[in-house]
Order: sequence, then structure tokens, then C-alpha cells
Amino acid sequence: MKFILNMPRREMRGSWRRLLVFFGCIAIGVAAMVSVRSFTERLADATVNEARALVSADVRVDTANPAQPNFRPLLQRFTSSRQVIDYTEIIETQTMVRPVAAKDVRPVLVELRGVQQQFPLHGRVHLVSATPFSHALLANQGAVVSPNLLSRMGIAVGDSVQIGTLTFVIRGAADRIPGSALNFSPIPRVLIEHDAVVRAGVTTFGSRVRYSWLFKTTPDGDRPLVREMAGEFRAQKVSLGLSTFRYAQEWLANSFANLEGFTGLIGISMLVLGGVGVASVTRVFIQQKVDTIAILKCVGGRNAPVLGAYLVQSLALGAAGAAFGLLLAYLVNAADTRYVERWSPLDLTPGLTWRALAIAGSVTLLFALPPLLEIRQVKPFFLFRRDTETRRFDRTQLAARLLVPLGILALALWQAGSFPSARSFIGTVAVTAVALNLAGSALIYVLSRVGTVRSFPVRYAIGNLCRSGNQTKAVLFAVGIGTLFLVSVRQQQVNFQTAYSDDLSTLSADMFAIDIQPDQRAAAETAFTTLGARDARLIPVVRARIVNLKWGPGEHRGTPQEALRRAAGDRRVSYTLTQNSSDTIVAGSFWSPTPSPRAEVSIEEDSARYLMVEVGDTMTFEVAGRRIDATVTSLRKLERRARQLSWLTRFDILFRPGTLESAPHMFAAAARGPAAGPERARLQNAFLESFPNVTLVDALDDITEIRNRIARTSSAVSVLGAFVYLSGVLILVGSIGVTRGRRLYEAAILKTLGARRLVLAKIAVIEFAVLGLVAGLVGSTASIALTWSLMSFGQSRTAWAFSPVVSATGILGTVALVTTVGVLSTWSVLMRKPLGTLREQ
Amino acid sequence: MIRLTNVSRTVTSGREQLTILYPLDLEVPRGQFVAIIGPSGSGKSTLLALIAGFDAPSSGEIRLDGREITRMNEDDLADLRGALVGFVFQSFHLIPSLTAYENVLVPLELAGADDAQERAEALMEEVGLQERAHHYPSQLSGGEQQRVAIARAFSNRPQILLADEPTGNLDTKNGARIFELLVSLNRHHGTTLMLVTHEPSLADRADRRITLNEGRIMNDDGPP
Repeated sequence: MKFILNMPRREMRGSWRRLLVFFGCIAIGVAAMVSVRSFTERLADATVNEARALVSADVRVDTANPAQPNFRPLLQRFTSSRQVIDYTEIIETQTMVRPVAAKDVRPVLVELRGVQQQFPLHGRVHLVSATPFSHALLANQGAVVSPNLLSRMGIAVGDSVQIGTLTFVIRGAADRIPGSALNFSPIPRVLIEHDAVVRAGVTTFGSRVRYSWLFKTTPDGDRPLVREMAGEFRAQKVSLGLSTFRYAQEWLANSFANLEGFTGLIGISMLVLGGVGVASVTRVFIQQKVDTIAILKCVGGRNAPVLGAYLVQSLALGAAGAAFGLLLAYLVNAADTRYVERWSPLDLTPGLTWRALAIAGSVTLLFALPPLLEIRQVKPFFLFRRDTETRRFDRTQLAARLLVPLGILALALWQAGSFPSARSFIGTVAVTAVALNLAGSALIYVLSRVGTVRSFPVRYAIGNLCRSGNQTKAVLFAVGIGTLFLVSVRQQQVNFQTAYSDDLSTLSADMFAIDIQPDQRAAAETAFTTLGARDARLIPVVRARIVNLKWGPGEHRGTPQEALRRAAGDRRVSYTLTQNSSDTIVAGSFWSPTPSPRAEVSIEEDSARYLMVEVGDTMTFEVAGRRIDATVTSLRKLERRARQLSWLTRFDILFRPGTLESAPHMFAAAARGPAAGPERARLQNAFLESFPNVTLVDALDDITEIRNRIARTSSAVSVLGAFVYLSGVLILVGSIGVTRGRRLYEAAILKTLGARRLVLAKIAVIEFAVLGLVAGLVGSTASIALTWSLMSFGQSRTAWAFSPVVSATGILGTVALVTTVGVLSTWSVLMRKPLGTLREQ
Repeated sequence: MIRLTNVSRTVTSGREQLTILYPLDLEVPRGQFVAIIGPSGSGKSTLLALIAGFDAPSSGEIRLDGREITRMNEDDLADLRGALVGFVFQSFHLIPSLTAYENVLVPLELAGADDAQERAEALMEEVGLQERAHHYPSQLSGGEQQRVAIARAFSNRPQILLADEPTGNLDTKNGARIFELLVSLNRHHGTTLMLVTHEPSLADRADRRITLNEGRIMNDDGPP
């Protein structure tokens, strides 16, 4: 036992430089995995914690139509339910706000909310001034606003703003207002008194006003209350939206599924990369220690204590690496906090520390054990000769090797949390490992059959790659696996970023107007053009109600009664000849661009699912007292973010022209305005002066803000991705270290025979470039399969897209990196005087 | 003490079988000092390695202190070496990452000796290197390294000491010092000593001289 504990300490003293790569692999691996776990966990925690604040209640009931019969008495009854602790009412809408004093300042779209005394039921309104929020601030036409509204309009607390027909005095700036999604929405918020919203006249038709009742319940009282309410609403045939903070929690979790998928890939990549690095370094280390091990056996060392000593050394290094990794993770998380707002720095709890040590221990044990078991193959006679004895088959070593994929699978499951993802991951890594092994054999076979080459460096480089014990396969394996992950992570990152920027680029407008009356249509179109807006188009808006549903032959779930219940209430519908370019038809086909007297509708995919309709069904709409039977002829998929930002001009239900033209209309408009600045402000002010009844919505700032947020989050994730690159370089350095001893000796011999350093450098460049090319080709090709399978079978919501640039860069980058690292690590070989090397042999 | 019966060693080199030692019999009684001489490639080192259990014979049986070692597994052989055999190599084979003192300490720790440190210190003193105890092998001269190797070989008080050309890498003066040290320690500890050497003058001081040539015993001037 003394020996097992003392030997590692003594060995470390002389070998620590050689083991730095081992230490680095574990440290970077742990740092990356802890960061990734922390990133996703804190995202999940934020989701849970903020879900209540998102709804600002445990249960929320809302409607766009408060005039329904039984609405108020029904809700009033629930206020005395035993699960309900408190309740309040709010009114929400989006409208434009203008400063009263500065006429040349652009109006800004805000989320206006009218609240009562009890608001908020959960969370608290946090004022920038750090003074407590009080409802008194809203009394007598007072308002509390988001700080970004003040900065956008260049006004301050105490100034007045115009909202609808009323003037309000800003009495405070609040950076957090419960009930405002995850506070990620960049649209400024304005809180005023509940009744003031109606008085300001911003609740007219088309304004998307929502009336909500918020309930605070006893712990877990939300579920029974919701069940009770749902039953009662059905019985009373009242159409009300019903949600709890749990829906919000799920919605939030889904919103970040893409990000989690990406960070999950980084986590498991680091796991394998770190492991490959550990295995690579351990193998080199044991090869360099064969004489020492043979000596230990000569002086009475059994396999167990010798193996035990080196295992303890590996585990100690792993533990030290884990400690350093934790420190690194702490620093990285502190840096990430700058990008992802409101995240506290990483808290190094005992749980997290133990988990990091467990990861490091598992990876060390899993990957270091197979090469360490090579100690059992070392015989005392190795001190005399090495080559003539046949190796014995070692069952334990085989078992340890088989444990590696199983262990990775277990850890990947733990890290990725998705069996299909983990299975695709392990499958691709296994196939890549086999492919790299075959590529190595093929390379050696082909090169060994190359005829006489005149160039000495080429001939010698080929010889280096072909000869037995040359480590070609080992280096190919490590570099190839490294390339697989580097390129995969980059590919995923590109997919992730492309998905978001594609969403935004599908927006054909950055400015919207609603409530345009039919007699204002022509004038509004002309005004947009003359004031400098481009691509202005007016979209008809018709109010309709679904009154009947006749299912066709398609498969349906639920019951027609349930479908009708869900369909209740007024809807904004439109009609168009042509399909929006960013929409995709997922079922049926879009009509040909001609009007038709036969009514046809195209339904947005999610709405169709909610309404339980399929292509071939007949929906009966009531429009201004007239009933229209319309056949569902297609289902459409709308781009997610584009849909969110341009909701004013997008419609879940579209009619084929020919049916609705005679119905009462209003129009919404979409246009591209000038770039941000005085010209844009002048356009908007002039437009609003010409059409005072129209609500103008400027989405430019929102689009810019969302772009910035994506860029910032992407930067935070890139910090995590950087670990993968660093780890890849470390593995490369470790792998190439295998051959350093041989290179030193051969270089010394060649120098004594008259070889110049340039010749030796050329040999190294050719050898490593060939290795880099083969490893890059296999790894980069495998990354296509890996990213595809992760996207296809994993949890990601982002579509897979092949990026030839990433793959090509991966191959060329690997060639460049392997050649550079190879030549640099050979540098000391080139510069060293031959005598010193020869003396050591 | 040492008995070899019909022991041979053949190795495979490429596709060829190469016989290093032809079947031979040998018996060495306890406490005897045997010198093995012969030209390079005659099988001297292989004979010693087989006796130490470093390698397994292709045929025959080897007994040390009555125990048959050819059927022992690696761990049992290691135990046997730790308890019974000390070995001194021509090229010292010290562990480069350990100090001189630690090189001597390692076999004691492996054997689980309670007084490992005291014994290692005493041995360092016995070979006259107490002042150099904390130097690494690379900081020691060849003669000093070999003295450390001898101290290490004697660390577990072996009954058999095998020395494979211990003076082969040393100059005449240092070689003589090492030889004297080996002989004196042998006398002092009463071990059986088998020493491979090229130098007739050293071999002459042994109790018995065995001459090997091309894997066969050509002469044995003092059979038991």
C-alpha cells in the first residue's frame, strides 16, 4: 500500500510535464461539462422560477370578448373557491405611445397593461430607483414604464406621454414586471390603472385587447381549480382561455430546446474528446514507462501494486484536473453572465463539486484503464529484448475496452438526457472509429506499395507512415475523432444561428398598421409610398366566427363537440390569392391564384391541430350574419419567429378570394420603412397625423433587439464551443507526442549523416499533412452523419442543413492544424544537437 | 540452492527459430560464488534471466531453493524475486524518475517491509552513497549508479544475487570497486552469487567458473 501511494508522488515529480496534456484534457473536459450542465440547469431553473412570474398567477383566465353571457358571474363564483387565495383583473393590449413634449420623436409600440390594486399576485414590480412599487404610482393617470421606453424616446420619469386619447405622467421605471413573458421580449411595457385603459380608447376592434382574471391558489391548488373551471366552462358553453404557470413552464422549456440540444452535444463531445485525450496520453506514458515497469517487476513488483500505482497516479491527476476545471468553469460562467442577463455566477456547491469529481473519475477510469492494463503485458525480460515474444490475450483488457462504449453511453445518457440522441451519438462514434481504423490500414497498404520515389523527404515520410510501430493508426484515430466533434459542433452552431437568422430574414416588413378603414385604403397605400416606405401592402381583415364543423374522411382525434368548443369565439381572418413565400404547405395544396365562388380555407398547422381539422373537412363560418361553408384545402406551416413578429399581418385562417369580399372589412398594412432615424420618425408621425384612428406598430427595434439577443446568446454558447477546439488541439499534441522519441533519435542519426534541417522539416510536413488529410476526410464526413442523426432523432427543433463550407473548412483546418502542431512539436527535434540525443540512447 | 535440469531457450526471430541456450543441467549450492564467462551471444545473460524468472525456458525445469519456478505465474515469480533473488544489470536499470535512495526503497516497499526507510538508509551507507542519496540517476556517475543498483539488489536480503556484467559499462578503476563491493557484500550476507563477466581476472576470484559458448556449457571447473 505504501508503494501504491508513494510511487505516484515520486513519478509525478519527474513526469509532470509529460502529463500536462492528461491534466488539461480532464480540466477542460470538466470545465466544459460543468459549464454546459450549469448553463442548461440554470436555464431550466429560470424557466420554473419565472413561469409563475410569466403568468403572474397560478391560474389565468382570459378572453378577447368579455361580453359573453355568464362570463363575469361564472368567474366571480370561482373567487370564493377554497383553492383561491387571491385574484385580480388586468387588461392588456399593444399600442403606440408618443411623448407629449417632443413631436419629432418616433412613436413606440408598447405592451400596455391596466392593473388593479392586487397586481402582481406573483413576483414583484422592480423599480430601477429601488423604491418599492405601489399602486398609488398609477393613480390619476400615472404610468410605470420599462426603462428602454425612456431611452428610446429620450424622456425621463416625470415627463408625460400620450396613450390613446389620454395623457399619462411617468411616475417610475421598472426593469421587471411580472406577467411579461420571460422578460425576454424587447417591447417596452407600460403599467397604468385598469380602468384607464378603457378610458384611453385603445380597446377598439382589431386592437387584440385581452381581458384576464388572475388567480393565486394554495400550493398545488392550480390543478383542481383548473379541472373545476374547465368543466364549468364546458357546461356553461363559455369560451375562455385557461392557463396555468405550468403551461408557461413547458412553453419556456420548449423555447430553449434548440439551445439545450446544442449544449448537450458540446457536453458529450467533451466527454469523448477528454477521454480520447486521456487514453492517448496514458498510452504514450505507459509506452515511455515500459523500462520502469520492467524494473519494478524485476525487483519483486506484482502486477496489482504496479498497476495500482499508475492507476492512483491517473486518478490523482484526474482529481487535480477536475479541481482546475471547476475553477475554469467558474470563470467561464462569470464571463457568460455578461451575455445572458440576470444569471448569477456559478455556485460551486458540494453537489456540483462531487459531480465534477465523479465525471473526472469516471472518464479517467474508463479511458485510462485499457492502456494502463498494458502494464500486465510488460515482462521483466523487456529490459533485454522486446520484439520476439508474442503478446498474450488479456481478457481483462478486452473487458475494459468493451466498457468504454458502454460507459460513454451511460454518461451520454446522463448528459444528453435523450436515448435516441445518445444512441445516434455512440453509433456514429463507433462507425467513425472503425472507419478510421480501416482508413489507417488502407493508407499503410497503399503507401507501402508506392514504388521508388525520387524525392528523399517524400520517400522518408512514406516510410515513416508505413513502418511497424509508427503510430499512424493511433494518431489518425485521435485526430479523426477530434475532427468529428470539432466539425459537428461547428455544424450545429451554424444550423442554430441560421435557423434564427432565417426566421428573421423571412420578415418582409418592419412596420405594421392596423384599423385602416375601407375608405382609408387607397390614401393609406399612397401615404406609405410618398412618405418613403417600401413594399407596402394592405391586407384585408374580416371578423368571423366558427359555428359548425363537418369532419371529412381524414383521421381525427377527439370529438366534434370538443372541436366546436375549441373553435368558439371571434377570429380575425383574411383572404389572399397567393401563398406567403415563407409559409410551407404541409398537407393538401394551396389554391391556384384565381378567385372562386366556392369557399376554401387554408389553416395554419398548429391552429388546425388545436381545432382538430384536417384537409377535406368543412368549416362553417358566420361573417356579419352570413353563414359560409368552407372546405379546408391546405394546412400551412408558418415560420416561427416571423410569425411572432408579424402577427398583425399574418392569419391562421386564410380564405380563397371570391367569398369574403362583400363582408365588412378593415385593413392591416405591412411595409418596410426607412432605416432607424429622424426620417423614420417623421414618416410615422406624418402617417399618424393623417390617420389618427390607425395604430402604427414599429417592429424595427424589436427585430434589432432580437438579433442582438441571438448574437449575445450565441456568443455565450461559443465560449462553451471553444472548449471543444482547445481539447482537440490538446489531443493532437498528446497523440503526436507518441512519436517524439523516435523522431528525436532518427533526426539525430540523419543529421550525423548530413541531413539539413529543411529536409527534416519537409519530412515532418509531408507526414503530418497526409495524416491530417485522411483524419480530416473521415472525421468531417462522419460529422455530417452525426449532426444529421442528432437532428433527426434528438430533441432539436432546428432543421438539419448540410454546410459544405463547414465540412471543407473542417478538412483543410485539420490538415493545417495537424501539420502545424506536428512541425511545432518536431521543432525541438530539428533544433537539437545530435550528440545529446545519441548519448541518451 | 539453484538447480537447472535440461533447460533450453529458443526464440523466434521473424520466421526463424534461434536457439540461445541448448539443453543444459546446472546445480549451484548455497553460498557459492560462480563466474560465468564466454563471448558475446553465448547465452550468459539469458541463463541469468532464466534463473531470475525474468524469462521462461523453452524446455526443462528450474528450481530455486527447492521451488520449481518454470510453472509459476508472473505474480508468483515477482514474489519469489522479491524474497529470494537480487539482480544487478550491466546498464544499471535504475528508475530515472526516482532518487538513488528511492530506487533502493522501492523493493522494500513492494515487499511491505515495515522498516523500509531505515533499511534503505543503511544500504545507502553500506555502498558509501549516503551523501548522494537524494540525487537522481542522471546526476550520478556510472560507478555510483551501479552502487545504487547493488544496494537495491541487496535490499530484501536475497539468498541469490545474480549480476549480469556489473562492471561492463564502467572503467577499470570503478569496475574494480564495484566488484569488490559485490564480493564483500556477498561474503557479508552469505548469498549465492552468480556473476557474468568478460574479465578473466575477475572470474579467477570466483569459487567456480563456467564457460559458455554458442549456448552450450563448454567448461565447468568446479561442479558441486
